[in-house]
Amino acid sequence: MSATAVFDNACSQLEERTSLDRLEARGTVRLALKTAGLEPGKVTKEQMLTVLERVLPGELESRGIDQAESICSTIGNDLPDTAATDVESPEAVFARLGGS
Amino acid sequence: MHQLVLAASTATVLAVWAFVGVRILLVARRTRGFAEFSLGLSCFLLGGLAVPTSAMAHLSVPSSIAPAIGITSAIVTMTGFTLLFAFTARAFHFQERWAMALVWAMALYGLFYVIGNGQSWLAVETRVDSSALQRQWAPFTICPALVGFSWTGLEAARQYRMMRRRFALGMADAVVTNRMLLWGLLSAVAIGDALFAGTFLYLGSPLGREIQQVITGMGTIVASVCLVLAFAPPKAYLRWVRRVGAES
Repeated sequence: MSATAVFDNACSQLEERTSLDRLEARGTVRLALKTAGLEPGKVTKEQMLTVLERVLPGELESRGIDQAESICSTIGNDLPDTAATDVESPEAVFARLGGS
Repeated sequence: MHQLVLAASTATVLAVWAFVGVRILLVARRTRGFAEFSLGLSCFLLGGLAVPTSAMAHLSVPSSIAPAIGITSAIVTMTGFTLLFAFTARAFHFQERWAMALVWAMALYGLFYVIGNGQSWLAVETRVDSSALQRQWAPFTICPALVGFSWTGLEAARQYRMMRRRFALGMADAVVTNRMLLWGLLSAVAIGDALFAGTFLYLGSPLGREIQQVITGMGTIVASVCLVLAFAPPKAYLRWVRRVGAES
């Protein structure tokens, strides 16, 4: 599944499990990703799990969503695996440039 | 004083950029990565060959080989800039068509530059002619430097901002984040140098040219330090980066 699908899946689950509508759910997840320095189209499952654990609960609580941590944990459990991709991140390129 | 700074900065550029360029090319040989190849060769050509070939062309006037050296310098410089564009496209916008279009635009610009500059070199007969040629063509050399380093610098700044946030959450490496910062700083200095060189190029006063040479010379040294710390850092520097990262 592509990185975009990880984002889409997380947003869909958030919409299903909370009172947020589609736009609000996508906007909240997008904001959480931005806070974490990530882009919706390039986020991996592992990165999304970190955001679900450490960033999104705060965003949901600020929007009056109860049991935010539990909801985020459930979303994380149901996230699909990210498919391998040929597109390298700038971080991966710069990691190699140091010779490592 | 300014001659000392100019000499020190020129020697620094030649040694450091050539060394780092070769080091990155050796990484490319191992990884087969195009980003490593394009950056390494760009550093080697722009820093290690462009300056000496340009100087050699001027000094070899009025010998018959001067135009050949001048044209070689033009090819080296424009190839170096094209590879800088290629590195930026590959590292930050892999497989995005608009980025590849910019690379092709730079390659085309370079081709026209080499043709035009080459024709000018064929007409050079004295060192007065070659000095006039260098002044005439300088804006067309400064332009790709400004555009190229602005593009790569903005991309690096954007990535660094995101990587800092990822690092705070344990999703980025301290050394790689620092490397991105250094590349952005190097680009900013290169932009400053290009702007200074362009601004003072046509000032008539010798004092203005001396000020420009001192400032751009110091900028070149700063950029060279950033290059080394980014791509050939001493182990002590890496330990310091990791320690600061762990404490933050």
